[in-house]
Amino acid sequence: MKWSTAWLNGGVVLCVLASWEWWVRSLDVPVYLLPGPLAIATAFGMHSRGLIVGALVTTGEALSGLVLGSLFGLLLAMFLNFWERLEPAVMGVALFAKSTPLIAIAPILTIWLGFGPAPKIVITALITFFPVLVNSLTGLRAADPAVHAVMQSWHASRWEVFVHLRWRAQYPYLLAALKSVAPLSLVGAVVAEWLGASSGLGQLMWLAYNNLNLPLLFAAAVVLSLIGSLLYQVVVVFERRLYI
Amino acid sequence: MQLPTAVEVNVAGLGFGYPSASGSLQTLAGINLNIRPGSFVSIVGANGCGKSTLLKLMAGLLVPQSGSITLSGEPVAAMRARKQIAWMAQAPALLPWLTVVQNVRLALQINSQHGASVHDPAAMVNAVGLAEFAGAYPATLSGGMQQRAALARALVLNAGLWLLDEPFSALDEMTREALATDVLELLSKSGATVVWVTHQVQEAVRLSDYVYVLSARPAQVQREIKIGLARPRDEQSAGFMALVGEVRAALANPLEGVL
Repeated sequence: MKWSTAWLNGGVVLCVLASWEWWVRSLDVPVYLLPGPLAIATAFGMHSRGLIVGALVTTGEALSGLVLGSLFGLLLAMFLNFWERLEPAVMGVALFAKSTPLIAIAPILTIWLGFGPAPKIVITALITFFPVLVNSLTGLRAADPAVHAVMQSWHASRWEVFVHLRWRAQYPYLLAALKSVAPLSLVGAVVAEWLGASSGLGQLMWLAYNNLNLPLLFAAAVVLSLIGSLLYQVVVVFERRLYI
Repeated sequence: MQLPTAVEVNVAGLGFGYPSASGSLQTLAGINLNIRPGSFVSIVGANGCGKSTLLKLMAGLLVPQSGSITLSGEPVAAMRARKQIAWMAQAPALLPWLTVVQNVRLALQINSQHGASVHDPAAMVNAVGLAEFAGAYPATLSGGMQQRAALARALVLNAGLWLLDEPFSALDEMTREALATDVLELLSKSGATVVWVTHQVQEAVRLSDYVYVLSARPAQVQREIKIGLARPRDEQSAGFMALVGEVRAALANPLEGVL
């Protein structure tokens, strides 16, 4: 990005923040309804340690769930690539697991697995596996039929077709899925924390909410957005490295 | 070096149709062919008459709905399992994430008969004039270059039967003439049977032992024309031009000999 472009974009963001602050002050909006940027920044300073620890805990849970869910989705897609006839059963169960409301299963998982990271990881995995499964399966099947015919003419086995053709053909689909589930994984972790946790940004937000500490709630939300964008960027960088 | 055994192709009463909204679109209606081992055969016919379908059936990529194909007395599947068939499609169909030489090598890797390879992938890439582009990815090549890469990938195989579906269609005139000659030389040296689908009557007569003219869809073999000229063939000779005329005439009158 050029310096002039950077200044322009930074300027726009500053203007928005300044008008927000001015609007909150001039209308005398109570801080428990909508805090201004300065109040949120102050909350950052006051609770920096709690926010950093919470961010580390939540990111750890989200990443673990993301990796677990993605691997599970990928393995299921591979399984269905070889055993297509089991697709109705496998997809039926997968869809069932995916459609169950988080709010309904999070407390049950907390009862089973405790207040630690385990239920958060499971919930995040439940959220992330399905998009990966669907996209990966679509990608595996989107392999160029003309290339497939050539490989068939070589009498390639299904495994050889998978290794040399289908696996690579699914990359764009898989990466698209990862781009959408990487930020989503945080939602899973935070919602699970909100419903019962001993640490994490979700728990911090729950506490802030109950104390009507909206500046802290906003500060935690900003941290979550930053982590979400970061996770997305990690996938983007990974994608670039893959194709160059 | 182990040369493959040339394959004899017997096609008897072969019928095939593609599924369509109204049931089945009959493409081949009773094709009969007897291709001697080691011969070079061209199949010509109007657009959409089923030439590519016939080749796919011979390659075992499609299953006949009636009639049969035997390759040296064996079913197609058995010959395919012994990796004796090389098929080349109209589209280059290269793997986009592999370089030219890697694409050629992959064919050998999957289709190798216990390491009995006749050709070196790099040498084959050179032979089709892509030496400088051996390390290039298909997306950076022109259509003609991609097709040459696909040709190299087919020719590197140690097959007893070559099924070539218009492999020169995307090449310019000069490259086509030069390549076609080289390919013939290569294939006649290998002693394999070659079945070549083409629209180029002149080239068909120049390269083939037999030219089969297919009728319009649903296709039948309309004419079998023996090209008995000595090689190398003089395209200016009266005999050559008469044969070209004969093939063209058969093509121009697609119902001749059918009814």
